[in-house]
Amino acid sequence: MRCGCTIVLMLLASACTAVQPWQRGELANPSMAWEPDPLRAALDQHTYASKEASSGGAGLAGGGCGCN
Amino acid sequence: MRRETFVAALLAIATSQSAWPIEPGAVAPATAGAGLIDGKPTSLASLRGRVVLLDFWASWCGPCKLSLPELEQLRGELHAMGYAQRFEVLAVNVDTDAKAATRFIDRHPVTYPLLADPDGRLPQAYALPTMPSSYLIGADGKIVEVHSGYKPGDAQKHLKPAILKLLGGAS
Repeated sequence: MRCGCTIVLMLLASACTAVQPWQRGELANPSMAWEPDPLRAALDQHTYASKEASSGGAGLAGGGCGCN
Repeated sequence: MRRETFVAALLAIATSQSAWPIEPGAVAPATAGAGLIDGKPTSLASLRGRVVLLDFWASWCGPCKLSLPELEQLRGELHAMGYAQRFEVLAVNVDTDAKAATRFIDRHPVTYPLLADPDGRLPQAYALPTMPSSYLIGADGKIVEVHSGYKPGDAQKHLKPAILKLLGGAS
């Protein structure tokens, strides 16, 4: 029981919170993009795939407008 | 206090922060605020008796560059069909920066009422599923349809038939 209380209290004390769809204005700013230049990023990925015979793993989820 | 009650209370507090999305059939939450351009009080209640398309948008929302002009065109078409007194679009802007919102309206002008909500109070009340989202609200103030996101042509393909059905016209 004490363990359960501790876990729940830890969850309540967590600083993490979900960014709501209407709060993504700052994240949607182009300067916040993982790849500010999509064309350059595509060319880099093409070179990488040719040299390494593998692709993907170049980005992360969570940034941007999150629209649609 | 029993331990189980204490843990249940903690869990209730932990889960109370997540709101449930508004479903069709529910009465639309009170929607009022200052006009984005002129600052005049604007509200959904003042449109009671009309079918209302309540649209949430922001200047940083890519699909909104499509949705605002297309909703403006749809509103114009419906008003030209004689539904000016029975249908209106009410748009809620959720930008924290009012200047960004007004710059967006300069580039994509609309004639329907715009309401500013920089604190995000209204999208929270509606538990907005995504940006943009629109709510089709009947003349009785109840939500008839929730439209999440926006793709090119959605106004004509999805919203217009639903609005005309509510207005009793042919789709």
